[in-house]
Amino acid sequence: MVEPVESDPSLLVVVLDVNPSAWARSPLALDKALQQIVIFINAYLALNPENKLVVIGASKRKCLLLYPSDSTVDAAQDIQVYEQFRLVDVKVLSGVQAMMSQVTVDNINSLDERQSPMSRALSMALCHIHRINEDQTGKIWSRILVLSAGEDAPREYISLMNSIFAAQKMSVLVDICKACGQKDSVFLQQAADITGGNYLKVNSAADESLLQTLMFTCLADHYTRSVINAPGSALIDF
Amino acid sequence: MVKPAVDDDDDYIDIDDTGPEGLKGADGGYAWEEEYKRSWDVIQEDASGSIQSSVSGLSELQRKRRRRLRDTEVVQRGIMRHVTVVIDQSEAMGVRDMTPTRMHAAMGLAEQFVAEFFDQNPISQLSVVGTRDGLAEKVTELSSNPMDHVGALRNRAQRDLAGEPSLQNALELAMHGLRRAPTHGLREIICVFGSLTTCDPGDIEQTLQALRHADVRVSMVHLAAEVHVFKRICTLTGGSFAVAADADNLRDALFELIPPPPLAAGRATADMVRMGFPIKARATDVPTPCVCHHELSFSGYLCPRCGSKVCSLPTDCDVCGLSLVSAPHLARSYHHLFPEENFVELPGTSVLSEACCFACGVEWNNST
Repeated sequence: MVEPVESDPSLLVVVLDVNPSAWARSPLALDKALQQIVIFINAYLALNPENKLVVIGASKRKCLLLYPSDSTVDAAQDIQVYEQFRLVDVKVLSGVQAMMSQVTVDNINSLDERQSPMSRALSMALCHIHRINEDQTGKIWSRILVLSAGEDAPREYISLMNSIFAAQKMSVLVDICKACGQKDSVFLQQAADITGGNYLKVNSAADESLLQTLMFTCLADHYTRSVINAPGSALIDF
Repeated sequence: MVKPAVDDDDDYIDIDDTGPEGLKGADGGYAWEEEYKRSWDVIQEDASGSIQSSVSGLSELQRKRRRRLRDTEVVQRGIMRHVTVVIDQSEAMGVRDMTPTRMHAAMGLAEQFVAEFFDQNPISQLSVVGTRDGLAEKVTELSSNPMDHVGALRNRAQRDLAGEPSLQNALELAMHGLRRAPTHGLREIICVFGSLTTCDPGDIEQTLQALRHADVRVSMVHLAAEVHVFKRICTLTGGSFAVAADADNLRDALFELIPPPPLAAGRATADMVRMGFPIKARATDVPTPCVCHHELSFSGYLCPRCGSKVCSLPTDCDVCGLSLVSAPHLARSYHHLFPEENFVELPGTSVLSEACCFACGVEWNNST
């Protein structure tokens, strides 16, 4: 079992749940949340020059790779902002905007719309991780951060658990951050528990900050997690 | 599905049997009469003089072949398995045809087998029996903790090999241990043997009848050759018999036994099994004892029926006997019960409409 070393690079795959029904109901607006997520991503990239990033946008119907993507970035160059960060930010924000604008849903308040299927995004994330591991010569430690907004979809239990076991085998940590929504996502709680990640719930109504939660718990890589004390795990409903 | 056939004529070779004719290859000749195959011709040097690519290509081919043959039929399988592993510790296991000896190879693979077995079958239980010098000894009791078994196997590997194994004693001892297992579970005995002989106190036919009566499935992986008695026991009880040519073969043959086997046709099915899903005990300031090891610990799981604390899952509650599992353990078995489709190999990427891979977004290059 190879142990993580402080200088090892990491790979972070951020899975953004863009369920419009869930975000519409949230006290934290999607654009504010995205700004905070983008700041978090920049902080992650700043930690180690070899850190890699993949961002995947997941909606009910589509699962799109937002970064690194081939989409053209047409925003003007801004000398105030570090160019590498600006590229990432613009790609992510424009990608999410494009995904949201393609949503045409009839019954947005139905129960079915509130559920976000995560297994497709997780499988895509694992494929990316596998691909990057194959291309990389040294050891790279991967983790997945799921920013979940919607609820569990019961019909995807088996495929979700299969992805979670695959992640466990690949020693990929899965952190879940429930950005909006009152109900705990039981499947994702189990995902975090099995793979060794954290399950965090951000209560925006009580003025808890998404950025603060992310920075304090999800920035830590494999090596650092053995040293820090993660926030206590709630009783998981098995 | 294997129907155990009751056939008393099996002991005598008949004129209808396949006999030596069954060994002939596809062209009608024996394997030793065919032209000598030069396996080294496959390996070619590439531009830089390295043979790494063709060697990795070979193993890639083997892996592909294995993947293609995966069984995707949806059948009823035995998920709760109670398996006894019988390890031969006779003098025949000291032969050096596997490096360094058969015993070392077998023990190393047995440890890997135990770890992989509990990974694929988390709600099953395993026990180990060793046989040497005409006797059989129980190495570990039925339990679902892989560390117990791996530790015991390591200790066992240090001991000397002696005498001849006794298959009958080993099977009787294993059956006695499996009697404790509930009937809704699948009872199996997996033997790893190296000796061509067995030194038994009585008639092994009676043991065979007892095994069939108790519905125990015996499978064996032999390291030397096919022995009629061993093969007969395996086939009549519904198990499998394999002979391993070398260490890789042994590993493959052993690991074939890890996925849950399909149930035989006549078994009673659809039992209701009572299982408990314990919740995590609240972390306390003062350590409390657990009922499984009687040791003090801060955390654990509480049995939903009697409330006693156990250290780890899956296990049986020592106080009330309830099987305690957690949902991911059951979910682990789902991929055996609902297997995914096999991948379809395409002749080239020109047949696809998309320009890049759906999963990772990388563009196709036309050599793949």
